[in-house]
Amino acid sequence: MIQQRMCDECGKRPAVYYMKNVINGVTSERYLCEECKKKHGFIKPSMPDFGNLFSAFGNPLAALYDAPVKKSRIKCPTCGYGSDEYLETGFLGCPDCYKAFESVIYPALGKMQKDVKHVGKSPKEFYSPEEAKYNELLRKRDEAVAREDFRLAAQLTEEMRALKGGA
Amino acid sequence: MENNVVISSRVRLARNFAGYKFPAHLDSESSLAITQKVYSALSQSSEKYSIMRISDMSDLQGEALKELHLISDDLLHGNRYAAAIVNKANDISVMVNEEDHIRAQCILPGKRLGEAYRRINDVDDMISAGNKIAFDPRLGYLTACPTNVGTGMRASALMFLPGLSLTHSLENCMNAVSRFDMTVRGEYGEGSDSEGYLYQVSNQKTLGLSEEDILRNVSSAVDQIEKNEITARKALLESNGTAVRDAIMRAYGVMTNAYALSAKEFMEKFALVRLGVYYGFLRCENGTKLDALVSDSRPANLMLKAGKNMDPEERDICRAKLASDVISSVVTK
Repeated sequence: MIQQRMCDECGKRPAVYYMKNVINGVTSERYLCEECKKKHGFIKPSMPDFGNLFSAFGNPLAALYDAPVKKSRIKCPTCGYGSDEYLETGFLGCPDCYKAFESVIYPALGKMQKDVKHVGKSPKEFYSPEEAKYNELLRKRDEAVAREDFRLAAQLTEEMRALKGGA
Repeated sequence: MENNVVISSRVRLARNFAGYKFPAHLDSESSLAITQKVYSALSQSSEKYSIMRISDMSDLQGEALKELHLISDDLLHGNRYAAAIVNKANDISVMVNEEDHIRAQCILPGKRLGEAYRRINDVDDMISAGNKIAFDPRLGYLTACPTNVGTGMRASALMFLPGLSLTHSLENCMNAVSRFDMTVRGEYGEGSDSEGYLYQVSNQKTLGLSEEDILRNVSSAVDQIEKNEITARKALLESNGTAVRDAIMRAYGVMTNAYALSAKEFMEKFALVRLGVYYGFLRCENGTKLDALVSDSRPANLMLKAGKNMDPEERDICRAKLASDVISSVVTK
């Protein structure tokens, strides 16, 4: 006698539905009973592994480092806010708190952010065009050194020197 | 409606003025001075902006603006002198004295992160011209919370993900995305059970990446999710064709005929109608009008439009009428 195939879902009742899906070349089969098909409404088709699909992004480097957090209370000289209040709420009192609580904030920043060095936009009023250009060259040189492209680094150093001399 | 996966794109920049405490600790005089600074900077623009002070708003008006994503809950319930400065098209909103002195955002329909950034960057240049912005060469723009320091930038896309949700693949997809420093959260409700299958995808980190890096990363995450969503929608139809089509047509029936609709049921049926348009079971002549239903049918906007306060039962009746009017006029079988 041929044995009746049981439902893949409950394993109790005989399967009366057969589903076959071919998605991205992967075949999946499901045997379900009347009850389980009704209960689920939509049957879960097999889906590709998202981990593989996302590998196109490359491997992101997280700038994580550990440093002991100072437990003693520091007070911001500008606004009077305390480092203990920051540790409790996660918020700072004023822009100067960043400098005042440096020893407390930096270790946390390393964990929560990509890096502890700003590489984006700066306000127009903050740098003169020469300063902005100098900083960009400096950044490019750091990157060149990191890549061990010393020829480019030397060239950039020359440009920086010329800029400083002319400024 | 293109493929109706990415509903809208939003970029916001957080900024603070140097020499002032952050809004949570700011006295009334300084709060008012900051509002004035921002408003007068934006008044120089060729675009027309209007200012809405939280203290002048009724609770209902505040809630309605929140439902339209023009202001946040923190703005409504934080600093007494908070305000929102909004352009005529309602796509640029500058919140003043929220968590930071300035939270400027541009929100555009569809997949347009680059354009949203360019527009809000112009607004940022306008505000910072002639004002000293809190900035540190090493840490970038200084913000009240170190999670925003650096670029102060959050780029996000509102995504409609019924395929991934109904095929139970969303969690998998979210885990994959979170490995690339992205955050995915339900737009309405919590976690993976977001009502209407609407999810916000945004960058987690703001320091150590340039604005272009952030735009590129979020865009590639959004593209990958979109691709997977389309695969999932195809798989859903292939494995459950009749059940899916039946659910969509029933939802269309309810949306055009119901006498009362709760917010939850509305979101559920609305998502199915939207999916029906994608599959071509339903035809939509005006996607913008259809999409606007989501915020128009939220409680405060319903009451504001009706010009009166309503209890939940009255709102459900009003919502059903609105849904029926709009869907009957722009969606056909």
